[in-house]
Amino acid sequence: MEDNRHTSREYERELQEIRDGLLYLGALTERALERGSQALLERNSVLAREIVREDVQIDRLDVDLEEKCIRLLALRQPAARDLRFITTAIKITGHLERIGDMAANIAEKVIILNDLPQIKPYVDLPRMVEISRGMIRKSLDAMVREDIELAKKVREEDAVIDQLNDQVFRELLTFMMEDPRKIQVCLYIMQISKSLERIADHAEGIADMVTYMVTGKSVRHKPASAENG
Amino acid sequence: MKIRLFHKFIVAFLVIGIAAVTVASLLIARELKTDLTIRIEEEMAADARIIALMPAGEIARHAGELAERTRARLTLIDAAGRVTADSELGDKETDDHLNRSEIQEARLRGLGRAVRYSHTLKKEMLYVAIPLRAGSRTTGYVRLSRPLAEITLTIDGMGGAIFGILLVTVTALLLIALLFSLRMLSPISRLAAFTGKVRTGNASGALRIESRDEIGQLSKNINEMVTALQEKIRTADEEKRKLESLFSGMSEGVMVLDAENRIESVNRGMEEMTGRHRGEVIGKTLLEAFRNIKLRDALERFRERRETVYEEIGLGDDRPIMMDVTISAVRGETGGERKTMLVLHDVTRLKKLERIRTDFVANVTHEIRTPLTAIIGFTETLQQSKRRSIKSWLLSRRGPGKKG
Repeated sequence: MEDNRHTSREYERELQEIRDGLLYLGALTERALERGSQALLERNSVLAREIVREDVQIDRLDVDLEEKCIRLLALRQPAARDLRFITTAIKITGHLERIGDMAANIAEKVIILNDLPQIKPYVDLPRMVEISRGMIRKSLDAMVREDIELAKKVREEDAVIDQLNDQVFRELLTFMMEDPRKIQVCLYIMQISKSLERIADHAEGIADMVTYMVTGKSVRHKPASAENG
Repeated sequence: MKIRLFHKFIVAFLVIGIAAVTVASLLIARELKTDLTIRIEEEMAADARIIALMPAGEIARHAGELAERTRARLTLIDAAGRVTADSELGDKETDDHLNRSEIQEARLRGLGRAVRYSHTLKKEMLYVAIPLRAGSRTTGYVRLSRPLAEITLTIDGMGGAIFGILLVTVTALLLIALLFSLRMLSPISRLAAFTGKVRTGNASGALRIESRDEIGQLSKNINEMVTALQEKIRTADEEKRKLESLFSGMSEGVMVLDAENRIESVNRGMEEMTGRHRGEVIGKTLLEAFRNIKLRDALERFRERRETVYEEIGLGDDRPIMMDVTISAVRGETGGERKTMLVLHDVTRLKKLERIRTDFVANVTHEIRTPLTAIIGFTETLQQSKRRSIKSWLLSRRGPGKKG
């Protein structure tokens, strides 16, 4: 009996470790995004290089977390809710790792952009960064609180990001048509915008997994997310 | 409570009473029986001795009369053991009586007695036998017998009376005992009611039981105990309130983590600083509650080294606040659980002031340096130049307002 309780407590601790690991990973990607935005606005290449370096840490954490999940699956044979949580966690950590990679990509583009002349003040990109950061945060909050309403909100916000992406695209297109010398800069900016759009998609994927974790029903590729461009 | 105790008393008294009456009547009946038997035997032996004085022929002839006078059955047996006369059966009984225990006893000791079942009369009988002697020779035996039923009847008659007396006595005793126990139980039930009130915490006043026995002493002790207890509770409450108001009144944010690194308590300062209600954060880990990398890293560092960590952390999304965080172990806790205390000090204003100061110094330096650069430049040119005309020309334009 005593031993049993001890085991279950240990098991609880391990589950919590995974949960905290996901949150930490999420916080790291959020910070990478925020710093990327800062590096872009302040034309700070030193900060951008730091982001690229830190992506290694995110990748390592991702591998660690996945290993922890698999070990827990193998050793404890969790059932029902816990099983759903762990499989969900494995997918979420994948999403977060991809977000980290995107942030590093953005940072790389920022380094190049900083060496080129700025064609106009950035307005939409910081907004996109803010929204996608919010989406990551909210999707992980939804996981912690097991709040499917919040997850739903995240899926709705993805549409806003898609719209912004289209808007940036159209705007840059006019710039490029006006002045071919701006094409290089515009292309890099477009890549950043595309990365941000991808990040939002990953955040939405996390929200979908959270909905699955709480309800046991898959909502992936369903109407709410069908509005994506 | 009272009723159950009262029932216990009743049952106990009843059991004791019934047992006492039963045992006493049994003992008395046995004693009476023995006593009566001996006395009847002695009477019969005396009668038999008198009868034995008569010649055997006379006895046989007057057997019926003798039996009637001694209120017993008379049997005359000769030396060979044959019945020569019997007051109830005549001389029809012919079997050998010599081996009967009372006859044997009479032959050997001069007086024989026995209680046994008579097959001729089909009832329990008491026998007494005396030998008839002519000189030293035994010529026969006189045997008197009475049915035992006589004695039993007598005893039963007396037993009824005795039983009645006993019953009355024991019932009276029982009643007295019950009255007494009622008297004893009522203060006990009052004690129980009072202590019950104390337990639920709404005891008012004191217990009033005036008696000088143990119960009085007990109630006095309880009164003193309750007073002392209430005093202690009051002091403890006061202390707790004081500490709580201190804890919540602090401008610093205080947060305590339990051994599992989950948030156990936060004070009001902490709530105001972070804008999170305590309901939102209690029971969660730091990451769950605040999602702050620096805070988590600081805690991690503290967990590794188990020594106080100081860190400057930015917190909050909408309105960023700078915090000085001190992480330390909670000491003086019993039970060995390792708790952690985080003290957060809002330094946003300080930071802002510091930035203003730096900006000011930078501005002043810049403003002072700009004209100085010009002066230094002129001075250096002057020092290096060898031609007087240039020197005088330059000196003539030294003032900023002059134009030449």
